[in-house]
Amino acid sequence: MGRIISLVKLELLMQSPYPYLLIVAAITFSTIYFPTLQVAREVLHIEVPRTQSLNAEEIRLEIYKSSLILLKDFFDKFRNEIFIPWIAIAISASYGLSISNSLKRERLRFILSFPISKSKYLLLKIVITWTLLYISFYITFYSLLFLRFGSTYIASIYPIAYLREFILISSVSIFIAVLTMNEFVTTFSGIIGWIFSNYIFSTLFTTPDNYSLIYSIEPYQSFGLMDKITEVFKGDEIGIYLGIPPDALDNAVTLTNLYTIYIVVTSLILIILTLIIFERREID
Amino acid sequence: MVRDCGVLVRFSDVYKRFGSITALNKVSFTILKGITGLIGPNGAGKTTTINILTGLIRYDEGYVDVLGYDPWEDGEIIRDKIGVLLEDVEYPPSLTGYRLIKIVAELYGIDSRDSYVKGLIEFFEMGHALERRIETYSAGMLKRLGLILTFMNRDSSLTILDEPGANLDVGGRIRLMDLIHNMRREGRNILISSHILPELEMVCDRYILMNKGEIVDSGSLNDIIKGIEMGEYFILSSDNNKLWRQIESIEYIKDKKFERGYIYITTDYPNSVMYRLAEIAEDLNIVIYEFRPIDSVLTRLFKERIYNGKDNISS
Repeated sequence: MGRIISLVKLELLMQSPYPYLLIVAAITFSTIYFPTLQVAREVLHIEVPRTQSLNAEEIRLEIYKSSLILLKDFFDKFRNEIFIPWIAIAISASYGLSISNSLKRERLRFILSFPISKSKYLLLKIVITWTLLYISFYITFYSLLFLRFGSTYIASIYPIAYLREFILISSVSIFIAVLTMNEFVTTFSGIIGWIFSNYIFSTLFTTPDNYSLIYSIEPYQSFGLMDKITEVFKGDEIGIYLGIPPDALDNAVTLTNLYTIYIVVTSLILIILTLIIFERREID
Repeated sequence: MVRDCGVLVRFSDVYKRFGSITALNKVSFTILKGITGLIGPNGAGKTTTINILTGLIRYDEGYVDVLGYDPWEDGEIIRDKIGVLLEDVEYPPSLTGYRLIKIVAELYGIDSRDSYVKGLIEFFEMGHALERRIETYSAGMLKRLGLILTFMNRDSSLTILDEPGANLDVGGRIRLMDLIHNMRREGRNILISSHILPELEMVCDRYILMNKGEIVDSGSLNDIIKGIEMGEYFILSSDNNKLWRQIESIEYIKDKKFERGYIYITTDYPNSVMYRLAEIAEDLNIVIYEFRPIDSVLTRLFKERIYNGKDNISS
């Protein structure tokens, strides 16, 4: 145990700040001028009106419905236009800088002068790098959201909503970083891996239509609004406004859970493969 | 575990290929307790051998046993039982030397303030530089830091040093050899790969001579120098001019030359020549300061076995 603590200390001291600064810069740049972030504040600050057939209450209900629809738009837009292209690239590039770069021959020969196996060292490195990157991601995102909205609720929940994406992009990037030892290839691996793994899921485990249900309910699941959805939208409204057939709601929840399991299992398999490949690699 | 017979390492018919290049070709040797020198020219396969020993690379065929373990499968266990100074390593540049020593001490379960560690720091004269970041170190300082880190594993069953003298100045080399001498007295086991043959000659109990991926010879100095002709000898006296005029009278000298005030002779009977030289010096009332082979025994061995007697050693 003492040896592991010493190696963690050594690894922490050897960390370059650049991968983490890159994440901070990418999130700051991507989110600071993103106007639709404003929507979330409006949605989450409105109480669900209990309608008493009063016009004012009905109006408030309509506003709330609109806000929920906007929340979904906001979520989709942020993931598809900001997170997936730019922050995903920044995450992968960070792994390129932290993993590919520090697994160079001379550095490894130094580490492997000491009693540790290659796979244990890599696992240690992955855990430390992943944790530090996620902390950088979370704190930056939290700070920006808090400064923008003044809501600790949004600020604390929203970054967690992207944990699934973060895990998959990280594992693909780590796999490619170790396999190629090339920073440039690693930079684009996460986003390509994300698209590829989603394609596999939508082909093997569901249909493209059902697959889209996952993203339809994701915003509400993330903010714990699923009960409000069923409370506010009645009958066909869920289908019309949110793109979810009423009878598919349960199916969508099951599919989302399956999708999360798929992401976690895929990521674990990739990390295990990475460790096996690295353990068998010669450091000449 | 180290077996009672004193065999620390056993290589048996080991092959290692890198693509079309055969780095080790049916290499067999054993390393016994004591100090062993691994010698050979560039490309002989010394570093490949050390990389296999430490579990950094796998061998293609044959059998390798290091302290009772297969280094490729049990590299972690072996590295726990050995101290190793590898070539081409990059120490963390942003750390201070002291911080690195402290962490490595923790890795080996010792206190960096331990008198043994302090002694190593003092011995390699690194005390003044330890508060500086490693990126500011010269090549010689990096080597001395590497030696301190390597010898910190004081409980190691075997210490492996790959080119420990490289980048060290004369003082550093002398200190290193002194340390190895001391460790030899303490019963430590060391494998040294080096180009600096005269220094190895002073400390090694046994030698493994490699060339082009093969073992040329191995054993104690007595075993491997049998049949080696020392060739040219060097004579320095209090008056070499006077002595040179009498050299003609000495039998058994095959060749001789007088250059820059020094006398060089070639003989197959050095004892007889030495005896006759002493007589002449007595008659001429001069003192023989030096009568010795130009090459050290190992250098001569190197020339004979590796370069087939040619004097074109560049390493």
